Amino acid sequence: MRSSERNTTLITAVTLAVAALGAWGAINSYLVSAAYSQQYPDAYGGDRAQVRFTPLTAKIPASAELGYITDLDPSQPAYAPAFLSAQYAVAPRGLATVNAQTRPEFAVGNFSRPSDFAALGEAHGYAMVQDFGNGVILFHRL
Amino acid sequence: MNVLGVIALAMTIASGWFLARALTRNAWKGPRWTGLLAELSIGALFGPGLASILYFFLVAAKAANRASVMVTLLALLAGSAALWWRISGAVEQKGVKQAAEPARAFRLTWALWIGVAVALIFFTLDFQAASSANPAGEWDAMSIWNLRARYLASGGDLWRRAVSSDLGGNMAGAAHPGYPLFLSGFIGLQWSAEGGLESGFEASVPIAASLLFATSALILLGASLASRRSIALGLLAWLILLCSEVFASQSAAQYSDLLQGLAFLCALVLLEAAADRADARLLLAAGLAIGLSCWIKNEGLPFALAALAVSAWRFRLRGIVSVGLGALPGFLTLAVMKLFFVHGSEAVFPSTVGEAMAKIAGAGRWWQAALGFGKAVYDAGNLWTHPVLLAALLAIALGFVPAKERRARLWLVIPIAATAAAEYSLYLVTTADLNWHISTSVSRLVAQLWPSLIWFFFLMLRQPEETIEPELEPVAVRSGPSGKRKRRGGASLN
Repeated sequence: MRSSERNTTLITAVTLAVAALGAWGAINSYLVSAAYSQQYPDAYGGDRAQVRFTPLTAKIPASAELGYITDLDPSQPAYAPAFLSAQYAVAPRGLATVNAQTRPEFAVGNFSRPSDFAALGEAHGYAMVQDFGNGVILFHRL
Repeated sequence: MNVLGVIALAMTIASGWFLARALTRNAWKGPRWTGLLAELSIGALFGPGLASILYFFLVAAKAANRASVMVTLLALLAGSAALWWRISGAVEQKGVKQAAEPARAFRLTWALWIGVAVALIFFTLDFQAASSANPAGEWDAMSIWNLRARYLASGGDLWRRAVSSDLGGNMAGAAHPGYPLFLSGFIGLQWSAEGGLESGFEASVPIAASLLFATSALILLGASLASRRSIALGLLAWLILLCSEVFASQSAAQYSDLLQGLAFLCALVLLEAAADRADARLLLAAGLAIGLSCWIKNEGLPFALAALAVSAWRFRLRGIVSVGLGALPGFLTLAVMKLFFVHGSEAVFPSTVGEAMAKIAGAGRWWQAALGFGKAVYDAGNLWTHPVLLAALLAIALGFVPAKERRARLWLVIPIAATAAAEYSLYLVTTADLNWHISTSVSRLVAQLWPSLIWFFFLMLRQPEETIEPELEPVAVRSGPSGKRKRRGGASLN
């Protein structure tokens, strides 16, 4: 086989291989993505948070700064996702963790399990105003 | 997305296209469709970029509402269209025609088209599956880009929350007050056009933006190569990007990284075209892309500075003036935002030089960061369809352009290398846990550079059309004084 023929054969083979493998790579990417999406719909909790917080946001002005009270400890892996999705759901209202320096007039409770929400609010200096279900509570500063 | 949102989006894209068409008129050599696709994808950077800048100033002046946004977009569209009209008229008056070079045929182009079509279908399905599962986007979409867009579109002083360090509940790395506002501004302006707070911040707006920027980066990669080098190379580049997991997985994330990748690629494509023919308009367009690249993410700044430096070296004083003028909108807006509006700083930067030096001195961090980048490249695709593997096969089969041409094009990699070096350096000095920082960001950094790296690789690769001997073709010859042509069979290498 002449060198130019070998070169032509190699180019033909590689071109066809890249066309096939490139397409297969995209198909494989879709299969992985579709399976992941099916297994973990709303993996980041954005949609769930929107649904849970909508009744509360309807009662609070858009300009409000809200405190944040939760039963999750900041060291728990679930803490950051819960806070960030709540922050997105209540925006443009501000959201800040309640502490000695930050005590807005209203606070949002974002709880992961049923509990005595009124007592948890009082521990932070807030009185429970309304329970919206799904662990979402509106508190008012005492 | 309501009707006004669609109109706002259409006006933004159309204004970008007019601008790209006006400024890049002489850049495209290949078939007409390649130039058209390249213009549209460059327009998808220019239009939204300039619109987000105008929107930022409207927001800062507390004047952003449905009416002001629509009037502003109309003015942008009218201005861009007028510029295009004027330039195309001037060119026609001078009798200058855009010469389309005849495309040489590669006999396996059909196979590449089939591969690209299949890959494109599954890329679209991939995007649809990911967007349906997470309409609000991934983490940073919710906690940074779309969140800030909500603040911008809410009217009054609420936009200042977008540039406040109070976001994220004081968690490390959760607040990014200094991040530029291209993407958030572009999404915010559409939400404002839809009615702002009352519109309910429709999720379809950031989804459409994500699709626009991902497909534009994809289209520009292949179309620019197809236009300026060869159709076969353009198709091969599309295949390599479409099988890149690092690209596909980011396309529906609603992040700024693929937009950043589009800006990097756009700047490089235009710089390369400008080097080919010293055209002030092309240099202006390259400058615009360079300036907009630093209005997207902080990583755009080292790229922009490096691109300006190589432009000064390559195009001398006259050229750098054009590039600098083009870059002004992006640079100035970023400076205004950072100097006058941002509160606080990034939590991951060391507060003193001593702290930074102590971190740099840790040899383990150098390895850790290098391994992080290595792993991200490894994860960029699957084993047998890995883009690096496919690129290596192409390099073996096609080979590279002659050394002289390689050296002549090498300067184009400098902005990419400078950006990669800056990103690597950030890992060396970050105050956040290095493992966490690398694992949560390195694949996105690679995604920013990926389209440009593929483009640069194909710029260095020989064209398949060059490597295959021409097939025997009938050759037309002049026969006799009548000038009639007869056909004869035979080989010709000319």
